[in-house]
Amino acid sequence: MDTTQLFRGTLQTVVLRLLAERGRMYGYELTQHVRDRTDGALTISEGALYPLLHKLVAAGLLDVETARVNGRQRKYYHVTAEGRASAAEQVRAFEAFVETMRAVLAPAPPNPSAA
Amino acid sequence: MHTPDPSPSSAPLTDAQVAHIVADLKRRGLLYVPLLDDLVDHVCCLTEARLADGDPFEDAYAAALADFGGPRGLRRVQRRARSAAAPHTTLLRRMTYASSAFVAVLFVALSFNASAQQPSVLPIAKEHLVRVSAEFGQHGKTERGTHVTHRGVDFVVPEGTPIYATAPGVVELRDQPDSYGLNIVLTHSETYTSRYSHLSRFAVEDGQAVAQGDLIGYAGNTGRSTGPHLHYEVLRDGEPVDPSAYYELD
Repeated sequence: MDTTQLFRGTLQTVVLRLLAERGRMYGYELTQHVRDRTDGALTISEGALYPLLHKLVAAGLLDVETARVNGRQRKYYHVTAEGRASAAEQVRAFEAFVETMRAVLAPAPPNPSAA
Repeated sequence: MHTPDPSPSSAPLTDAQVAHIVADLKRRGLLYVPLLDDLVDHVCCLTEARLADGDPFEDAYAAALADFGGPRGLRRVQRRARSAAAPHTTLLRRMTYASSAFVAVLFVALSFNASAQQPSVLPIAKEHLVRVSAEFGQHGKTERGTHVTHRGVDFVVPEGTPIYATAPGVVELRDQPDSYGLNIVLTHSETYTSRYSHLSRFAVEDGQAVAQGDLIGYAGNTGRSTGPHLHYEVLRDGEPVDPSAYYELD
């Protein structure tokens, strides 16, 4: 089954949560980290990542530091206080969503009146 | 929990290779500065990873570009990043990314009332204006001696002066070497369009939707022009009207 559609809405949660957890990361590092951590089940497309990072910076949830590495500028992203709060809130909302889905999709307990 | 830095520093690119990548990305139209550093670093990392596998530089770089969907994919990222950083125009911009100018024009035509859609600001920052060299309606002669009436206003500005959209609209890029040179026509509504001529360079793409005040290009001296200036037109139902009625210049 193609799970791309399932993951699509979760990219922002994943990025905010990872940055809140790990301090600061640059774009390539984010993509590699997610790929390795999920054994390739979840890959962040470059095409979706940078627009999202720029959106989160514009919204004040992320901040950027730049450092020179291997002859070029590297942009490290980290969460602001607001971003950290948003990450926690989004993880809570996602966990609630998973609980709900589990309740709906788990095999129903036997219905006593049907016996 | 720590993973090692995934940058394959065992095979870092040389400064010349990085410079080659920067120049190549710019040449392919990736000029949006806030994103360029991100893209350069990411493409360099992808290239280094393949160099570490023993690929020659040219192959490694080509494969890195392919990971982004090639130059076209990179430009798509650029469009999305631009719109992501400008939340106030998200809806209008999103229409464009269907890359259908037609749909966008229709959207513009249907969803705004005419007054919000007519030019109402200067296309340049006032401090860049050297002088107005020709007003609207001024009579002149072409090189062949034909009498012409000036269809717009000429703002003398330094080469490279930023040019801004005077109302929200949809971009049409044109290149008319015998007349307007590189020029942009913005469709604001069914009624209004505006034109920005003799540009040195475009800052937007064909079919893109822009907000009032967005940077769209840079002044120049292309086409039939004898020095850097912006020839600016406002058209109402396709007929040129006096642009000075559509901005304040005191």
